[in-house]
Amino acid sequence: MSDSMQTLEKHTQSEYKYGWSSDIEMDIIPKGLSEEVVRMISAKKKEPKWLLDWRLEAYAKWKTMKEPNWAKLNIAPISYQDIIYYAAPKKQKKLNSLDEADPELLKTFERLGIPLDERKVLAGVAVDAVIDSVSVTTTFKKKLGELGIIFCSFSEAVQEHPELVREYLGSVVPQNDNYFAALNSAVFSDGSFCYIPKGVRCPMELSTYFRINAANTGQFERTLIVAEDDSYVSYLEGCTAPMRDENQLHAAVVEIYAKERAFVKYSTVQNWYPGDKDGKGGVYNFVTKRGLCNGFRSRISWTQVETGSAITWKYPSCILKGNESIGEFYSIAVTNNYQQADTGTKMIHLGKNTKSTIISKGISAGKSHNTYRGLVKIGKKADNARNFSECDSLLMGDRCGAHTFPYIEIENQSGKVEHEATTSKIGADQMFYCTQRGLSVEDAINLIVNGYCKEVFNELPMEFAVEAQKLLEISLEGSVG
Amino acid sequence: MLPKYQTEVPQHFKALFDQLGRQLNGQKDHHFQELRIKGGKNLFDMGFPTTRNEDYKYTALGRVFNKEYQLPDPKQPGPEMMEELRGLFNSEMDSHRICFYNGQLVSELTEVNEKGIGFFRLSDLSDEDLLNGEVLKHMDHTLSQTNNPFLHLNTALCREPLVLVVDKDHRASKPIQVVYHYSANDSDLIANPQFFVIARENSKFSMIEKHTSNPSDREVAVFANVFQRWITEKNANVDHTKIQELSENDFIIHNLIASQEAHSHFYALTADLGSRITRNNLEVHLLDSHTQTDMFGLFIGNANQHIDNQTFLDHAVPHCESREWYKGVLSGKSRGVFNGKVLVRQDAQKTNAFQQNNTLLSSDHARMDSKPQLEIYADDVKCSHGATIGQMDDQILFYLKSRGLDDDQAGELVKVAFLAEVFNSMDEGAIKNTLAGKVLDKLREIQ
Repeated sequence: MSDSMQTLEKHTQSEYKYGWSSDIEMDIIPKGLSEEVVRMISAKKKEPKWLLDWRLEAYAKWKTMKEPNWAKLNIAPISYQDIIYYAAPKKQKKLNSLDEADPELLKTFERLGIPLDERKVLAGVAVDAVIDSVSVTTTFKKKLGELGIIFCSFSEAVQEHPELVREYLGSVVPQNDNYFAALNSAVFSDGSFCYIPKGVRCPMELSTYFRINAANTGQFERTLIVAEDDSYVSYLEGCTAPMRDENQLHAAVVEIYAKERAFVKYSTVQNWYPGDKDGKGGVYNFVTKRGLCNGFRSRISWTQVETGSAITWKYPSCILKGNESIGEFYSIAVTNNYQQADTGTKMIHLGKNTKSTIISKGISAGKSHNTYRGLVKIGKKADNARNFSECDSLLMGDRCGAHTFPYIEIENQSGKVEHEATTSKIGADQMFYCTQRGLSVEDAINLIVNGYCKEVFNELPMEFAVEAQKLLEISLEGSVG
Repeated sequence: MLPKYQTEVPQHFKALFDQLGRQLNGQKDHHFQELRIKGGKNLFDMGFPTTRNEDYKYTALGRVFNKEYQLPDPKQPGPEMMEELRGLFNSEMDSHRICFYNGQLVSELTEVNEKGIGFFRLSDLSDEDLLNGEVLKHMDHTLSQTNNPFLHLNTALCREPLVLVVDKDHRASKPIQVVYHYSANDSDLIANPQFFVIARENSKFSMIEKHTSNPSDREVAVFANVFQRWITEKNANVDHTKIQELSENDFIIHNLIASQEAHSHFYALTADLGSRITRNNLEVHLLDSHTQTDMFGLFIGNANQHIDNQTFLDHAVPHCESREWYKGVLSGKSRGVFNGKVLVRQDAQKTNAFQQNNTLLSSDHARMDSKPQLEIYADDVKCSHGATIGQMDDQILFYLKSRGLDDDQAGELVKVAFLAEVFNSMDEGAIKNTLAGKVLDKLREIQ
C-alpha cells in the first residue's frame, strides 16, 4: 500500500470525535406519532390554543403527504412510529444563575467548548444552547435586551412574544411546504427565536449549539429570525451529535424574514454523527431552510459547512421578492465513507434588479455520494435579475460519486444567468509541486483542499472558520487520486 | 391527467396498431412483427409521461395527445407531390438521396448507388440474411432496455423499418441527403419512420436529414415520431446533421440512440427551426475506449414554439472524450428546454466531458429552462458544464449601431455570431452552408 493510501486509510478511519452521550435525566414521552402526541407536546410546553391548532393543522396535512423520493439518496425506510417526539432535560426548578445548573449539563457544554464562561464573554458570543429540544440556558439576553433585540428559545418566545411568533410563524415555510416541514410543524419541540428591531445592528454574533443527546430521539427544532428595516444580524448555528447505532431523524425548519435593507447572515457548521466506516448509524438530516427578502434591498446570506450526517437533505433558499434584494449561498459539503448528501439551494427571483450568488464546493471521499441540486428561477416580472453559480466537485477515491443537477428556469429576457461546474480530483501536478517543496502528502492535501474551499471559508465568521477548517481535516484529509 | 395518459391515450394508439396489423396481412410472419407486438405491449403497460415525470417536467404533451391521429396512406404519393418532394432536396449538393413521405419510403426519389453503401427495406432481407438477424437483435435489445414509450410507439406503428449500411473501410464519396416530408390534409396524421444505420469498421460518411411538412393553413396536425438507431463500429467516423423545419402546428419527437465502438467518432448536430412542439431524445452509449462524441444543437424559437432537447451520454468506459454544446435564440412566447445528462461510470477513468448550453432570450415572454446534469462516479476525470441565459449585450449593439447598422441588422449580426459557434463545428462545407442559410432566414423571419 502506498503512502498516500495509508494516509487515506488512517484518516477515513478516524473515529467520530464527539461521540459520547451525557447522562442527564430525561423527561420522555412514549414513542410514536399521533394527534395525542401533538397535543401532549403542546401541553407540556403550556402553549396557547392557536399554536396547538396550528400544530394539529400541520399534523393533518402531514398525514396526507408522501415522503419525497426525488433526491439522489438511498435511505432505509424511516419508521415514524418508532421515534420519540419529545425529550427534555427534567427541570427541578427555574434557574437563576449558572451555578444552580446541573453539573452534568455544564460538563457537557464544557466538552462541547461552548463559551459560557467569563473568558468567552469577552469573545463577545451570546449562546443559546439547545440540548435535546429544550433551551436550557441563555446568556447575553440583557445586553441584547437593551437594544430591543429578542433572542431566546422558541418556547419562551411563544410565552413572552406571542404576537410576533403568531405573525411570522409559517410565513416563509408554510406547514405543508414539504413532508419534513409538515412533520416539524406538528411536533417541533423547541428552537430559537430572534427578532432585530428597526435600524439595529446586532453587536455580536448570535450562536446556537444544537446537540442531539438522547437515544432514539428525533430532534425537531424550529428557528425563526425576523429582521426589521435597516437591521443586521449574523447568526451562527453549529451541531455535533453523540455516537449512536440507530439512525436518528432530524427534521428542522429555519425561517428568515428580512424586511427593507435588512441583512441576515446565517452560518452553519454541521458535524453530526455520520455513521461508522461501514455506513452503520448516523443522523438523517432533513432540513428546510428558507429566507424571504421581502423588502427593498433586503439581503440574506447562507453559509454552510456540511461534514456530518449519514443523509443530508437540505436546500437553504432565498425568495427575492423585494426589488434589488440579494441572496447568497456559500456551501462546502464533505462526504466520506457511506455518507450521502443531496444539497444545494433555490434562488427565486421575483423582484426587479435582484441578485444572487451561488458558490458550492462538494468533496466526496470513500464510498460516499455528494449531489448538488439547485434551482435558479427568474420570474416574469424580475427585470434585470442576475445570477452567478459555481458548483465544483472534488473526488477523492474511485468509489465515490459527485453529481450536479442544476435547474435553471428563466422567464424574463433581461435576466442574466451563468452557471458553471467542474468535477475533478486533486491533480498529480499540484501534489508534486507541493511535495517537492517539502510538504508531506497530508499537508499538501490540506493545503489544496483549503484553497479549494477558501471562497466559502472567507464568508464564515472568524471563530467558525477555524472550527470549519478543523472539521474538514478530520473529515477527509489525506487522499491522492 | 395521469390515468388518461396511461389508459385512454394508449388505447387510441391500440386501435391504430390493430389497423396496421390488418393492413400488413402479407408480411405478418416477418420477424419484425414480433417486435411490433412487443412494442405495442410495452407501450400499453407503460403509458405516456406527464409533467410529473422528471424528464418531462417542462414539456407537457397534452397538446400532442389531444388529437385523433390516422395512419398514413401506404400508397406512394401522386405526381404533383412527387414534384414537390423532388424540390425539397438541395439540388446544389451532390449527394445520395433518400426520401420519406409521411414516414414511408418513396422509392422513386431514393437514389443510393455507390458500391459500399447498402440501403434496404428490412422486409426485403431474407430470414437467413445475417444483417436481418443483426438488426433485429439490436432493436430487440434497445427496446428491452429503454423506458422511452415513444420508441415502443414507433415500433408498434412502424410499417417499414429501413436499414443503411456503410461497408468496412468504405469512405462515402458524397453525403447522404435524407428528406422527411409530412403532409396532413383532412385528418391528424401520425408518422413513425424507423431507420437503422450501421457504420462498419473504418468507414466514414456524413448524412444530412431534413424534416418539413405542408404549410400550416390547416386545422389538422402532423405528429412525427422518429426513431433512429445508429451503430458506429471500430474506427468509424460519422457525421449526422438534422434540420427540422416543420410547420407551426406540428409535433415532432425525434429519438436517436447511437452506440460507439473503440476509436469511433460520432458527430450529431440538431437544428430546430420549426414545429409547435419539438422533443429530441438523443442518447449515446460508449461501448469501448478512445471514442469521440460531439453533440451540437441550435434552436430558434418564436411564437408559441416549444423546443425541448434531452441528451444522455453514457460514459461507461475509460479514455473517452465528449463535447456537447447547445445554443439557441428564443423570441415571441417560445419556450426552450435543455436537459443534458452526462453519466460517468466508475470504470470510465480519464474521461474528458464538456457540456454547455447558452440561450439568448429576445422577448419579454420567452422562457428557457435549462438543466445541465453531471453524474460522476469516477475520480480521474475532467468534466465541466456550464449554462448561461441572457439577452443581447447593449454595449455590443451600441457599438454596431455606432458603425451605421440599424437595429435589425445589429441584432441579426449578434445572433448569427452567437449561433455561428455551433455550425462552425461542422466539417462538411455544403451542409454547413445549407444550414447557415436556413438559420439566417429564420432569424430574419422572427425579427
